[in-house]
Amino acid sequence: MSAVDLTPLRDYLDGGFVAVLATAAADGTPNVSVISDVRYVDERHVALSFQFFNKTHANVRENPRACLQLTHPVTGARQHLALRYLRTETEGPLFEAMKAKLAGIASHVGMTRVFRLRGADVYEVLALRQVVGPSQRCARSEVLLAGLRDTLAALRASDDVEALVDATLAALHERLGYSHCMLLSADAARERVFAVGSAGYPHSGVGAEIAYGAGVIGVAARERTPIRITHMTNEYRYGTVIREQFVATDSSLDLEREIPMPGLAESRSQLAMPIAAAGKLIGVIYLESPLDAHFTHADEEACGIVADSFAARWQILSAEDDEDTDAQDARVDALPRGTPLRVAHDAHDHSVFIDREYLIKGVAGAVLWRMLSDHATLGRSEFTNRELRRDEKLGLPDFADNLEARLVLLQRRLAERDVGVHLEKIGRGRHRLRLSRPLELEQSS
Amino acid sequence: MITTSFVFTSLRNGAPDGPRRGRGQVVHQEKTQERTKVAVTRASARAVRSMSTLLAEQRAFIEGDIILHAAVADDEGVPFIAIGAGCRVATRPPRVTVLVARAQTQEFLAVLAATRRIAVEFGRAPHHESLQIKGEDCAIEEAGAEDLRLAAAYRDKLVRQLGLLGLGPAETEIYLGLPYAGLVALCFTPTAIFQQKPGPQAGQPLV
Repeated sequence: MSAVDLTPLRDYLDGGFVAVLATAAADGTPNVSVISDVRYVDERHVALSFQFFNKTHANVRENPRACLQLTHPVTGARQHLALRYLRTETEGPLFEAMKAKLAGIASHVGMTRVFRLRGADVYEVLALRQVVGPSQRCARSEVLLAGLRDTLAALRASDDVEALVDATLAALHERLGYSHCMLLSADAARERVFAVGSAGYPHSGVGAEIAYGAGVIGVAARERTPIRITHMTNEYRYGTVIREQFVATDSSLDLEREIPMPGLAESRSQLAMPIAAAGKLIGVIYLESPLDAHFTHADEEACGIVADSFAARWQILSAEDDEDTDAQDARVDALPRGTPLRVAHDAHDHSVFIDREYLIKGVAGAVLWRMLSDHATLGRSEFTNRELRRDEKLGLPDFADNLEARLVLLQRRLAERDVGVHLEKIGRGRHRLRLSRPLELEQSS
Repeated sequence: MITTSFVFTSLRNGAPDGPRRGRGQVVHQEKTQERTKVAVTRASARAVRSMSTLLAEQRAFIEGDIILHAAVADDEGVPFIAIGAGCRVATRPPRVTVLVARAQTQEFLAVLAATRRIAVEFGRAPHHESLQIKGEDCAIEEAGAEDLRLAAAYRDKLVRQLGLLGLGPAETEIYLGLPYAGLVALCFTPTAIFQQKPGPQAGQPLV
């Protein structure tokens, strides 16, 4: 039997065929009966209608193993599912949904008084085996619909911007099945987007920047429109080509101060979806694949729904992060001991180097420098979003400038580099700097 | 004695689909010597009959337009399903033979060869009328020429049955896994027959 994913088999659960269930008593006596309703719970679970106190009911409580046969209502293909009984639900959404469906079946076959749902028996699907018939290919739209529902639930459950970024990437990668995906946040002032997270690549690429108009991501950001490319095109390839574009368009760019994009060397399908709210660009979702013609209209629609939901949640969380954060911790931490960390700051583009290695630049670099300076001179470790926003030196023009995204980016870059400076979120709109070595700060202009 | 042995066998195998029988549980608690008397007394009102008689009475249904499914369970209690490709009944002595396609049922046949215990459901669409026969001493034999004719007739019956559910003849052949690479005959001694039409009486043994 193959790995379990029931999603492509949901058609088997619609139509006129009853399912057949085999169980066994504790003494090994087999039993076989038909089941009125089998319901898809998720990709690894089904629920079977429990209507009578019968041998099946007794058997699965003695011995939870069962075998279920499903028949495709159009092709006649048959699947056998190896099951393990988990529990019986007698109330709640699953039970009510099955009860309503059973009432419909009962009415249809004139057995209204006979069919009454006593419970929804939930089973884990241990394995699947196609017995006969053409293999079932699930329509991509089916997979996307099922994945979207879970994705939107995960986004709603995110309680801060960092969790939202993680939940979005995890859902795109695992639930919607995109092998390579990236989430980028907008820096409107510099007309760039920067990566705040990725999934499917050997290196996260957090902090990598794309200029508006460069490649599919840059065009999607500049034009605020989805860009979908179904075949490899040198024009829109990232990697070296993008780096060349950077240099060509901005002679002041120093490639040593660039974090490489984590993109595929040979990307054959690309989809970039802008994330926008209230007329302003928040960021871009980027998907790519080594396969030709991998993204369809359905993928574009699904990605658009994720982007809209991300934007809505982002706005709520960003507003929350600004509330109630005036209180500042006046605590002075004991200074760490050891070899000093040499931190250099270039005021020109706010590039920050730690022990001569480039870390970050732009607003995230300016924020880090401000925190490190305050720590060195005032002994402060805790900082609020509100004070950062009010600091004119940081050059944050307004609310929409994605401070939270920059802090997520900074937090991740520090975690990846792991050189003794860490930033952690300690509450709504509050971050704490954690140092394991003393600082030696060097400012240049 | 034949009638009472049927009652006890069905109890030993456990009540089938349907409500558990309080009456049967009482019988089960009686001393062995009294069982015959009690069972016969109760049977007098319900005309307990021999398995041969029961099979003869159900033969038209069993060999009619039905859909066949069989189940076995291995020694760890893991069940397996096979669909039938036809069946025949002998009443004296009572034996039921179900045909299955070897290629689709290899695990099923391996388990059956070890346990020799089987349950077979005979269902009729679309109103879920069905019987379940449980059996033991099951032998696995190569299908003969007569069985091949039986399988061809069963295919035609199934086309009618599944046609009621909207499946065309070509798809019915897919469902059956036709053409068969090899048919085997599963011949067993029935130990109990149960009525399985959905409702409060579902799972009652025929007696």
